[in-house]
Amino acid sequence: MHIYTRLILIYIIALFSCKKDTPETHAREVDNSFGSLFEAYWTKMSMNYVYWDADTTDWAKIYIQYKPKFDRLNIHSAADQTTSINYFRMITRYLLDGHYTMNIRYDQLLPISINPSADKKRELPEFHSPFIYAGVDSLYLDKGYVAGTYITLTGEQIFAMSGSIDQHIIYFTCSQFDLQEAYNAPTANGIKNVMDYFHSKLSTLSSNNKLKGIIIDLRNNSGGNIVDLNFFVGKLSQKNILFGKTRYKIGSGKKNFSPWIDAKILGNNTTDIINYPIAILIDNYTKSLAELIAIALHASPYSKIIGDQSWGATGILADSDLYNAGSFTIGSYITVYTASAQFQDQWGKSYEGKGILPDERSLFNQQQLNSGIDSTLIKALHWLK
Amino acid sequence: MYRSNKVALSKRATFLHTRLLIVIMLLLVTPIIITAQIRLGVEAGLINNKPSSIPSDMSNTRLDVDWSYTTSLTVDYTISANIHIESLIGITDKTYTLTRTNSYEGIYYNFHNRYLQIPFFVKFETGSKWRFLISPGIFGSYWLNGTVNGRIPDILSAQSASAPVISSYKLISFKQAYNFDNSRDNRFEWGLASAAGVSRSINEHSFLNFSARYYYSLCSFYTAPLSNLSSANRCVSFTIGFTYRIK
Repeated sequence: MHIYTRLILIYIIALFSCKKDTPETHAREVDNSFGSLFEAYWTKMSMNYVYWDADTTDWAKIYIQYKPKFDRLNIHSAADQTTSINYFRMITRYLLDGHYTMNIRYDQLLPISINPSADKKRELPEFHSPFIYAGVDSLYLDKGYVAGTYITLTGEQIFAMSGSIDQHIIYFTCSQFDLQEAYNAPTANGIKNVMDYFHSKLSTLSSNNKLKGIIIDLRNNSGGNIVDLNFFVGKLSQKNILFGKTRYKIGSGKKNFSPWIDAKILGNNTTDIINYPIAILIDNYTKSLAELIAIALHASPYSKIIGDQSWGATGILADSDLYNAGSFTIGSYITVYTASAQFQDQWGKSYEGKGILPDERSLFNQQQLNSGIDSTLIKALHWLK
Repeated sequence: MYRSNKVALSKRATFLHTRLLIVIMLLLVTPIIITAQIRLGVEAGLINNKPSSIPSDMSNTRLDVDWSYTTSLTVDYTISANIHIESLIGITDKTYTLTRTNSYEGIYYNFHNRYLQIPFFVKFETGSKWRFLISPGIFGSYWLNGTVNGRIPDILSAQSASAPVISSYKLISFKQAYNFDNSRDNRFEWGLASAAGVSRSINEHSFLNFSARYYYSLCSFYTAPLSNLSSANRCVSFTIGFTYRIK
């Protein structure tokens, strides 16, 4: 056999005997050191955080600055654990995500929560604690208003109230959006009564042409389950409502996103209640889904947002495994809650970290509220009348 | 070592590798060009990429391999009747798909990365009309552009409060350019190559070539220090080509 033919045969045999590469998944390991804890946290943030295209935090610089500092700490020392918490507070303080919450659990300290967005708000001169308006606002409602509560499957109590004002204006408020869950719950509950009352009043007044307007009070509403967008707003509209766009991370790249996808609410009412004037009340504690609902209702040309600037957490939280983004945990030490998707309104404006600016500003006034005067509600009534 | 130093060193190493590769190629090729017979040609075919590991830390995800295209100009320098040096310059589309599994069935991300790829082979041939060949070699690639397409769930379409049930979401198809990230994506790639094939002479000057090639990248397509993900392209191509002897 010719020498080259032999060589070729040997070569071909060698080619086919090559080891097969078996794709493997990557296990993330955190050994018992602050260095590896920080490394894992930093890497997961690089991949899961959805605002790297807009955030002012220089994440590469954070690594350079903090990796040696964490390397010097002892994970079993209470003093070093406290120091690490201070480092994490410094690292996260300028993050844009309004939902961002870092829960830290060490063996030597009590669990601690870092919420950069709340920390920033506490530094503002106009900062105030959350206020429950229902006590004051019930004074404005006609007799026969309905209020009720429901304990969610996750153990949170939600409150809702609806009534008429001067017979022709319908008022609705709730502390959190888990309305669909409450409404579909097998047992009777107060939320179900409120929802039935709200929709029957709207239906009756609109069919008699006596509906002057609607007040949706989203103040001190912390958000809730995304399905309530369709459940609550969809029931006010006959047609689908285009109110914004969402986009998602694709792959593990910091700045690789899907295209913007239209955010639509599926209208499922027989009449367009949304075409009646709607006053949307917001405050500093209108957050997350409550902000999206405010934006969705504001898509109606007959709406007005009244109150104070909202929280600024409009990114969408989802099951952490659904997208290659969002919340994550690092061992038993750190749990991070962060948005899984970006949101902007239909004109391309993002409210993340900034909040919604009302059309008519009405600042929080504790003194007036203590005397039973809700100046924001009064402004809404003036606009509707 | 601080990360900035690591990054700088890594970039410097990539730069030196590339320059070294070019110098070696020039040293090899220049004397041959002067004396050798030269065949020029074109070739095109299919390429299959199977990255060395799943380039993602997503749960419930599998790596699917896909076929795409490769096309190049070929230059073949005859050193002796049985030994040639072959060089190619062409565009190679290296693709892979991340497919979500179990409760996320239906979601996928298909990445297409187009490289300018230049392999060099030492080709050993034998035979007369049908000539059989094997060629060990090396290659270098430069990432030109990429696209990603797939299907993702529209979170606002959720019909059920009990996530994660993918059936309760509307899946949206998308396709767009890949946004190259200098801090994590590796623009250069190099590695070992090998080929086997047959060549059929049509006449004194023209040849029809059938080749199977394997490209084994020795570097991750992620910049190592800035990501704990590491995955390298592993490609098999099957091409048909035509070469013409000009000298």
